[in-house]
Amino acid sequence: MTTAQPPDLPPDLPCIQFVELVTEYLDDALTPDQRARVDAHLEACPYCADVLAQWQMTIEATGRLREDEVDLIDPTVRQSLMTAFREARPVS
Amino acid sequence: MPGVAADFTDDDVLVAALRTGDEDAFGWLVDRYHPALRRLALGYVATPSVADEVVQDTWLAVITGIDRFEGRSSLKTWIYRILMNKARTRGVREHRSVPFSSFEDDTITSGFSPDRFRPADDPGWPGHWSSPPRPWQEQPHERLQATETLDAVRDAIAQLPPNQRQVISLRDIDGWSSEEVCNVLSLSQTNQRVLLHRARAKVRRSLESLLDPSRP
Repeated sequence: MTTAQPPDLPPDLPCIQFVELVTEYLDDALTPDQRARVDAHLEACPYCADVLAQWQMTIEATGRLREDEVDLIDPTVRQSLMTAFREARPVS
Repeated sequence: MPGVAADFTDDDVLVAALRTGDEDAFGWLVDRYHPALRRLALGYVATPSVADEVVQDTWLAVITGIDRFEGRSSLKTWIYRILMNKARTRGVREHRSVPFSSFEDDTITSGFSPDRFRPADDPGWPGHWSSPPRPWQEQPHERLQATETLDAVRDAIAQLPPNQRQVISLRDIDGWSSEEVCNVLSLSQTNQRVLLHRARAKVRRSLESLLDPSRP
């Protein structure tokens, strides 16, 4: 290879703009045209592909807090709510 | 002999069961939504004990009001709207209401400092990475599930402004759709996404400092 060309042409979308679009991209809230530009950028830019993966891992880790929280209802509170329900709504 | 478990994820089934005093239905509802309701209430009122009162008041309103539920929204949305009304009223009374317009002084949206990118006048790659993120994939996947990681996420969320905390909680902890969140919090889609993006950015940054120790 004797060419002096850079390995890739700069993709259309600068990385600094991509990082602002990640949430809209994941929500599928971009126009088809915007989405195509983001997809093209992700094909060409491994760093932004990493950012996208990190965003997805962040969402996954946040989602794990839910499993973590299930036991957080104070049993006394739950009991008093069940009693209130029973008293207000006798089985019909 | 146990019967076939009712499908309480179906609003019609659930509402009918609640109206006939089915305790399993009410218990299912409480288990499913109580933690999230409490989390949401905490964004509006001063103390956890007041948040507990707000959530209990909400459940009592559900118990007494279920006959008036008309099904124009999902039951979940209806319950959350009751919670929001009670929490806001309580927050105002305590002079602690949090207007959604209070976008804080936070200039970072994505969480990446501008100096991690090449300047706009860069001859070759303007706006592209000068200091790119390092991939986390090299980290063992178990790290994501580690207590340390979850603690970091929890701490990061706890430090968010209330409006961001509420949006990320409903979207990413409770798995709500953006429509449901906009509906309950009275936000535009655009505002909701800006709040979510900022919130996720901060959580991502706190994970980055954990999962990529080479970065200060």
